[in-house]
Amino acid sequence: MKKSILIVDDDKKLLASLKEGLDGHKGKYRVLTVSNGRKAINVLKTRDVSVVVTDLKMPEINGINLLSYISTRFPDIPVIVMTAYGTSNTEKLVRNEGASDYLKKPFKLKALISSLEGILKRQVEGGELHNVSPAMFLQLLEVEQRTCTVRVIENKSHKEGVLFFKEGFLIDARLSGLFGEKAAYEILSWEKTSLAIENQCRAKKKRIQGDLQALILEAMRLKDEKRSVQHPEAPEGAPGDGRDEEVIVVGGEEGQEPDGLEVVRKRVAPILGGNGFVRPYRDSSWNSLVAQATRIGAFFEAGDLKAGFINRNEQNSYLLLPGHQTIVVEVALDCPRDRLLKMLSKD
Amino acid sequence: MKEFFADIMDVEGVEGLILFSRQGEILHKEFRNEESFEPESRDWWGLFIYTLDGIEEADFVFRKKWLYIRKTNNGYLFVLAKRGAPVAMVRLNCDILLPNLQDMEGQKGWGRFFRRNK
Repeated sequence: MKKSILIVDDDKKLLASLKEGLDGHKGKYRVLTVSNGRKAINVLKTRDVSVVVTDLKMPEINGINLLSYISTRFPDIPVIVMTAYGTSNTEKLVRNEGASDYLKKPFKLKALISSLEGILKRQVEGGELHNVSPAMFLQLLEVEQRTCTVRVIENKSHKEGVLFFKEGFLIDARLSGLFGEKAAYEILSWEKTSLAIENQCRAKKKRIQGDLQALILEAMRLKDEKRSVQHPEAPEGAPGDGRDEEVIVVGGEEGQEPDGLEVVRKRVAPILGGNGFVRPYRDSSWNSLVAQATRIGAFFEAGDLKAGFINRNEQNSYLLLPGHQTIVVEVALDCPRDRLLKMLSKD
Repeated sequence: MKEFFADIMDVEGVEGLILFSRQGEILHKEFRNEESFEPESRDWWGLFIYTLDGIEEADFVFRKKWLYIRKTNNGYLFVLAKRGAPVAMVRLNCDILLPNLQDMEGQKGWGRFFRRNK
């Protein structure tokens, strides 16, 4: 099966040249190209991608921020960074941030192919199995207390999911835009699959708490329930401008929790008036900056990060609130910044 | 260098400051309690500086402290203060002082930090 390679660069000539070169290479690759980090994020949320190749200097979301985003949200997807402006310091920075390889432009197509082949080879170094039920095989991994990343392809639909094992414990899972237990239930319910095992666990967070047996039982129960009752499907996320769609929980009741965006709007509106700001929205392209600021706060023993204000010397400035997806409020540069920050950082 | 930033350090509630180059190297650091923090012990400042690319200034409000970041000719100035410190005074002092920080490239000694008055 062809591997999907996503190439991100604002140099359209280079994109076309790399696409032509890789498309024609032994029929191994399916190449997707986009011109900036924001579009790359939209592709990652909606398509299965095996490897990302990204430039560093790009408008809107640069390569470093994209790399941080992928390392956090899609840790199983290797990233090759390419740049014309790098130094040995840059290479050290990107590798520390999780890049699998680093190419200095200009480079020959051969170098990129060699890098891709090395990366893809590592993904199957632990072995490959075909036509197996994942639930049965994964119990072996638990018994053997394996640490690995298992890429699973469902034979009929060719959907691709990933399971992360640490010392035999299933700690995380990913299936397109689903993570944790939700992704695990779906993957564990598949019947005939192909598995590829990489001998390291790429997940950074433990999102799954239950044990494997319990997860398998629950996955089977949900599968049976789905067969007998019709469930509405969650709408697919449409490519947009980087603003994340609100997550719609299937089966949940509306109004169970206060909407974070509405809470922010209610705090900001009395200070700015109804028209003094852009309605709050979620944008995970800020997550990397917020995560790094949080790390700095921990270093300074400052406590939790409550809110941020960013001035980029543009028409609007940005108020940020940390969360699973950063909440953003665009405000005028001359807004009462300190009052807003004080209001937003109240518990 | 201590004298240069004295007005910022004198603002009530300010705990310290760090001046970074564009590459994330620490050019100067000062804390009210000298034993407080050792930023040299961390290697991720450069990554954060890189991520700040294009940002003129930023405020990060934490539960106990406030971090103000301002772009300079040389790189970035980080000012750490207690929550509730008069942050507007810090910004005002930055407005006054930082234009006098000259681009360091190609120069040596303390003189590299100061713009010559013509």
